[in-house]
Amino acid sequence: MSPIIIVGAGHAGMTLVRQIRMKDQYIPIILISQDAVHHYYKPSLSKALSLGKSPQNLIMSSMTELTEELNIKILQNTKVTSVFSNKQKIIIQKMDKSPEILPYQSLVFAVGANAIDLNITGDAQQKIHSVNNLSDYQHFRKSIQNKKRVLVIGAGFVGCEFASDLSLANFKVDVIDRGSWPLQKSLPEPLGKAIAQSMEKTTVKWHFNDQVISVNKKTCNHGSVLEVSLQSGKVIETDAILSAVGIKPCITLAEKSGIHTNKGIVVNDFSQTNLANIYALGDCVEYQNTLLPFIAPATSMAKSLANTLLAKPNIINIPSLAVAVKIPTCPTIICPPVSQDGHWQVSGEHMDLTAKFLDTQGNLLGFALTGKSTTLKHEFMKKCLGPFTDNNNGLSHQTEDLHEKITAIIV
Amino acid sequence: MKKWECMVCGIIYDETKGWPEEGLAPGTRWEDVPLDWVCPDCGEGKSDFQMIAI
Repeated sequence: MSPIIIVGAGHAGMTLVRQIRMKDQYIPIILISQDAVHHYYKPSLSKALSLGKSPQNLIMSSMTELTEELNIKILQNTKVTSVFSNKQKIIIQKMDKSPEILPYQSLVFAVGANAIDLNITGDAQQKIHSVNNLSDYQHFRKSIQNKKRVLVIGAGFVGCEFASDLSLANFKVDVIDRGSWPLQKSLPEPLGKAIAQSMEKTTVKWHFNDQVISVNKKTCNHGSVLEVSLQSGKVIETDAILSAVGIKPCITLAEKSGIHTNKGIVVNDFSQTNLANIYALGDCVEYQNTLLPFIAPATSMAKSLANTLLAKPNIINIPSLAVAVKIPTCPTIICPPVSQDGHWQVSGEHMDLTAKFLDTQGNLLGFALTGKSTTLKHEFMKKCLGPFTDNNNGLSHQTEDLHEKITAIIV
Repeated sequence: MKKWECMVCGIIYDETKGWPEEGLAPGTRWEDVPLDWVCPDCGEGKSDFQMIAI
């Protein structure tokens, strides 16, 4: 029997393997990754410093352990160069070796997303790090060794968490963002201000409504430093730069394989692409015109896709997601509204704020909580409509119906 | 009192401390954690936690 081939060994791919193995010990699985393979938890990267962990310490299982534990074949440092969907075959290329053809029964894209590249000039532009996997993080940690200052570009989820982690490790941190407050896309101004103020009390300095234009190397008495010029004319001296301006789904291979792509790889209610036997999940996916670059949706997609791949088609059911932003000075929980049609309603005082994102009928579409209000998370989750409410209405009923229909088709 | 670690994200549930913000009072034993409880960090289920030595 041809194997299930999963391309990508990040959280999505790895969780899918584990979910399949919980249900089927023997079905052959090949996991392919263009990087080295080991199990680590990506969200830990932005709290490793304050946890006192080295990049190496973050590895939970090695490739050998994974191969044994999960009874799978792992091909690391291997690229998939072509997909022949009509023949159910792919071509792979391992570093200096000649290409190889592999047949598959199902092919899953769990290829993730790449860091967005900014258009920054200067002779030290290549010194800008972005951290999207463990090996990026290893490089970044090397670059801050024995240094005191880090400049972070972007005040979204990742930028805020890294800024917080770096400040807890006593780095002086400058954060640059085009917006007017941190996490501006996900929460309203009063909560953003609360987060900003709490972090200002540490070693963080914000530079809002601004952006980086160029990065140049400057030699001084104590070695070389980086000089960062902003659009406002400000110039900041720093030792290392981390860019956290967002990610973009990897769609190149899918696109040239004839798979529908838009912002991401477009999938239906079963995580399936427009091509038979080809699926996608995780950060690379676009579902109902929405990208879901978070851990929890990838986990729930993996659970239903595991069933679908084992011939028990299962509709993906993405619950409302409450994302905890790791900022110890101002605990924050965000349930990002998927629809933009609504308005924020804020209550509370000082740092302990609640913000509800309501539609015209007063339905709760999303929320954000800071400080002591984060204890209200469960209460809010219950009231919040899921991100794909229309799809989830009467889901269990629908699922049963579809099960029967699809089983009938397969049989 | 025991500690349990999520196999996916490495978060640790300490029975002594409970998880008040997740609705689990201090001293809540693992066997008393509801079956439909999911890891607040990664969304994995209760079955994905393993007991670890203290």
